[in-house]
Formats: sequence, structure tokens, C-alpha cells
Amino acid sequence: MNALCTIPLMLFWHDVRHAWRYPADMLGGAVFFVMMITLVPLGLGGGLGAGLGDAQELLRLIAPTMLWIAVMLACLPQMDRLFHREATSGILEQMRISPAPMPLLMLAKIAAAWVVVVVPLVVVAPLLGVMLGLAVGQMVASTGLFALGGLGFVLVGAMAAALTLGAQGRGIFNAIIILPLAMPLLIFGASAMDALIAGGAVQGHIMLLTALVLVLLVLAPLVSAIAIGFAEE
Amino acid sequence: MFDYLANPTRFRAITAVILPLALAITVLALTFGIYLAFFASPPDYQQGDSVRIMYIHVPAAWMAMLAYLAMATSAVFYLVWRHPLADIGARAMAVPGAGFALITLITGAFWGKPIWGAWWVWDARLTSMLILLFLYLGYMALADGFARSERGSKAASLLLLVGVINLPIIKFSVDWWNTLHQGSSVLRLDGARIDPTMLKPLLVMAVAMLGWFICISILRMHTALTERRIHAILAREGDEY
Amino acid sequence: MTAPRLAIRDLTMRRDARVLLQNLDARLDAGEVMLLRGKNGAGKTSFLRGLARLTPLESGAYSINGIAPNNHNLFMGQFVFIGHRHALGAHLSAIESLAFLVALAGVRANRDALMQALAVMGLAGQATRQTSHLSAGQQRRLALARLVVMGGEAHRLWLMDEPFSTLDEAGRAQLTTLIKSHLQQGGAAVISAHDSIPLPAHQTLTIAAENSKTHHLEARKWEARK
Repeated sequence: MNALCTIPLMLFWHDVRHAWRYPADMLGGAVFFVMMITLVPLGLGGGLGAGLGDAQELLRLIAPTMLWIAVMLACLPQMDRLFHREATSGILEQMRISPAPMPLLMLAKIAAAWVVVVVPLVVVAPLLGVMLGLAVGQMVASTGLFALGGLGFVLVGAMAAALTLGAQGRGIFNAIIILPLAMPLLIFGASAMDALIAGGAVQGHIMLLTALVLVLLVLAPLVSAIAIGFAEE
Repeated sequence: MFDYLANPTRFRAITAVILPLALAITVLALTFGIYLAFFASPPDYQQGDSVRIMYIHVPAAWMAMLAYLAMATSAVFYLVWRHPLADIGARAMAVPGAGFALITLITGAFWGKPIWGAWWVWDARLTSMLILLFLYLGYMALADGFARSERGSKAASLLLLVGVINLPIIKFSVDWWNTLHQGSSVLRLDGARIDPTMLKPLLVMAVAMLGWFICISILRMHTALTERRIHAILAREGDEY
Repeated sequence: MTAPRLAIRDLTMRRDARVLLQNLDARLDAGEVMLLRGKNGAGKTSFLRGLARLTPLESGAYSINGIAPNNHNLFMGQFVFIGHRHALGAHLSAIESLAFLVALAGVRANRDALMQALAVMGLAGQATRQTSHLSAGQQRRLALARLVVMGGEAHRLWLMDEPFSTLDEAGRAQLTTLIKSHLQQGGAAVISAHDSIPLPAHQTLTIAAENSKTHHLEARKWEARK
């Protein structure tokens, strides 16, 4: 019983520490996130530079969707690598012969990935939101949404990474596999943020998002564990 | 332990009966269905003759969903009982299934142009169908994405099951998103409102498509089985040198 | 403990369409070594991975210390698997990697025990160096150091895939001493090697490839010799 808790916890710290030693892993997503958001206003053209109200308004309108897509795109390429290093180094096979059950170990890895990948994004998100014309208070309030949605993306990404482990051309597969699975998260997340900004009833949206993340929280560790079993045969 | 030889043999024996039967049903239903759809059914009072697209569009959409469910069922058989034939079946159904999804989308676009005035509208059903097509593509890519085909089969089967769990969630989220972002201006066919003269060709066409799907799937399974035998023979020969 | 360290009954194993071994019966008692022999690609690694439950077996049964593999939690505590790959985190120090591997196997060890194990394997000076900066031989020693830490767990069956490769003369001697002391404490080991090992083997299992068209399914034949 004790091993059930201590081994996954130890794995969690191992992964976080490993990422901390090599910060490029940890900050890569955040840098990508910042760049994507910076490029949108530039792409919208001269209207913004001239300070025209219409372009400003348009930017504000698409800001929640932009932020959510950017969070998703910043998370997923990093998740692609989640099991790759472990598989080639042999850590994955040692995990599989650990007394702790594999789904729990997967959960620990996913939790560590959340800390490493999502937390930096959540920290930068308010700043970028404000730059897109959203109010400071709204952005601070929506960090919780990003943290929750980010967990969803990490869960989906872990499943896809486990399923495609060892495939030729992993990156393309990941995109095709992830899109249908990540789409509900994007819809619920962006609309929750829309509601938050519009000052409407947010609770229902948040509950939908939470419910979805909970389903994934059960599904993803199981599916990942089974898929890794297939991959390592 | 599964007998790798006996089951495919039995499968060939059973399908030798089913295949001509399904083919006959397909030909008959298709002929009758086309006659009904083009000659024996009235044009819609609003949509005119373009309503006839429905007789392909709607059964294709049904088949796209049915094929996915059939594949997911096969995946369960493959993953739980390790039956290789179930995997061959799922792989065989993927291509016609994806084809049905594609036909649904294309006919939807043709239908949408005169009715909505645009080739593509972000309607909940069309969007769901697009996502279903992505699920098909993901399955096919994953199944063929590995050096060892068995690995691809297992991963892809698992993806099918995840997809089946996600399908209602996707459907729900898209419907929900649609009601948020679009008004009720979208013209839709209501199941209850449909006239019997239109329902009859619709069902006959559905039977024709089901028969065609069964034929294609069985033929593709035969091809896959033959291919496996060739590979096995080549591998055996290769051992000698 | 009355149960044999390893008991195999009527085991058949295949990889894709190829039968690696068929109807194998074997038994390994405390203090014994089973040596796996065979050409490259014959199936030595698959057999070891099969015993560690990393690869599914076709049919038959086996147990380690009387415990069947389906009892996951208990079974995984009955052996140590030393594979080709060292399972070291690239950005971690030697001692951190060792601590991780030991903990993953469900064994508690304090820093002194870990340091001592590194010292035994001749890595005392490398404890805080990043593992990716160690040489291939040093990495292997580091992977083997967990055997020292788990030395107290004599009941564990050591499953070792080519453990002597990439080790220098001193490393081979250290490993030999390690295995011998494990055997003296009542342990047992299954070791694969394609050249001779500096250990007396109690049993040798040879995978011999036979190139015969008519007997294709039995092309890989296992022979058990006492």
C-alpha cells in the first residue's frame, strides 16, 4: 500500500527535477506561446498600429480563442516527447516492472508534465491577455481556467504520445489523433472564458470543463499504460 | 491459443455465401433506390430538386457512424480475445467508413451551396462529421504507422475505443458550441416532418449502402488475408537464405 | 523458502510468427546460475524480457519464488532486471539516478547505502557528475550499482542481459564478485552472454538456430542441460 503512493510521488519529483536541470524543456512552450500571441496582432495589419478602434475590437473579440489555441499548440508538441526519452533510455521498462501499478506511474508523469509544461504557460497567459486588450482582472480570474484546460491538453497529449510511441513520423500522427480529442476542451475552455469576459454565468461552463477533464483523468493514465505495454513488447 | 489457419478458412467459407447475397441486395436496392430517388419522389416545396442529394447524403452519414461503431466492436474483440481476424476486419472497414464520411461532407457541401448559399457552413452536424473523418484518418495513420504491423493494430484499436468514448463528448460539445454561436436560421430536415414518399427512397438507399459496405469490407478482408499468406510464405523462403 | 527461485513449466514463446522456444521445462534453485546462450537475434533478450513480464509469452506457466506473474505487486518484488539500456536520466547526477532506480523497484535506501554502492562499483568520485557525462562503461557500472544496494534482498532473481559487455577487466571482476556473493546468500541469476562468463554455470540453455524448411516451426530449439 505504501509503495502505491511513494513510488509515483518519487517519479513525479524525478521528472520535475529532470526538467528543472534542463530549463529549455520547461520554457520552450512558454516561448512558443508568447511568439504565437505576438504574431497575431502583427498579422492583423496596419489598423492596430494606427490605433483604429475596429481592429482593436476585433483583437479583443478573438483574444480568448487565440489564447486557448495558443495554449493547446504550446502544450502538445512538448507532450509528444513525454515518453520518448524514457523509452530509449530504458526507464520505461523499469517503470513497467515496478511494484507500483503502471496507470499510477502514468498519472505521476502526467502531473509532472503539467507542472513543467502548463504552469509556465499559465504564468505568462495573463500578461499576453492584457496585451490583447483584455482586462487585468479577467485575465487573472481566467488563470484557473487555463490551468484546468492545460491539464486536459496534457492528458490528451499523454494518450497520443503513448499510442504513437515508436511510430514513424510521430509528429504528424499526433496532430491527427489529438485534434478530435482536444477539440471539446477547446470549445468548453474558450466559451468559459468568453462567458467570463462577457460577465455572464461562468459556473456552468467551468463545470462542463471540469467534468471533461475528470473523464480524461480516469481515461488517460489507463490508456497510456496499456498503449505503452503494446509499444514495449 | 487461436488457430491461425482454421479461422480464416471458416471465414472464407461463410463469406462465400454472404458475399453474393450482399452483392445481390446492393444491386437491387441501388437500382430501386435510384429510381425512387430520382423519379418516384416529389421535389421539396422549398428546396426543389436539390433535396434529392439527401438520398445519398443522409444514408452515407448513417453508414459513416455505423462503420465506426462496427470497427470499435472489432477492436474490442481484437484487444480482449486477440483475434487477428477482428483486426483485419477493422482495417478493412476503415477505408469505406472514411469514404462515407467524405461523401457525407462533399454532398453536404453540394447541398449547402444552393440552400445556405455557401459551400461550407459550421453546422453542428457537418462539424461532427468532419471530426469523425479525422478519427478515421487517425486510425488509418496509426494502424500503418509502425514497422511491426501488430503494434499498429493494437495502438489503432485502442484509439478506436478512446474515440468511441469521445464521440458522444465531441457531439455534445459541438452541438453546444453551435447553439452558442449560431441562431436557428439553419434549415434542417426534421426526422418527424419527413414525408413517406421521401422516407421510402431514403431507407432503400440506406440498405443499398449497407450492402455495398458489407461487400467492400469482405473483399478487403479477403485481400488482407491473402496478403498475409504471401508475407508468411516470403518470410519462410527468406529464412533459407 | 521451499519454492524454487524460478520454475518454468511447458513454456512456449514466439515473436511475430517465429517460435523462439517450445515446451520448455526448467527449474532454478537458490545459489544457481542459468546461462543463456545463442547467436545474436536467437531470442535471449526476448526470453529474459518475457520472464520479467515485459513481453507476453505464448503459453505455459512460470513462477519466481513460487509467485505467479499475475500477482503484479508481489511478483515485481521478486527479481531485478538489468537490460541493455541503463535507465539513467540524462540530466541527473549519478547518485540521483541510482536513487531513482532503486526507489522505482520499491526498495528503500539512504544516502550512505547509495554512496557505498557507488564506491563498490568504483564510482565514488563520480557521484555528483551528470550521468550523460559518464563513459559507457561507467554508465553500465552505475546501472549495476543497484544490485549492490539491493544486496540485502537475496530472494530476488537477477535477470541479466549481457551484463559483462562494455565492462573492462576490473568491472568484470567486480560484477563476478557481486554475483558470487548473491549466490552465496541464496540468490539465483539468469544471465545471457555470447562469450564465456567468469562464472560456473549450473545450467546452460542454448538457443540453436536450425535452418530447415520442413521443420520451420521448430527452427529455434531449446535444449536444457544440467
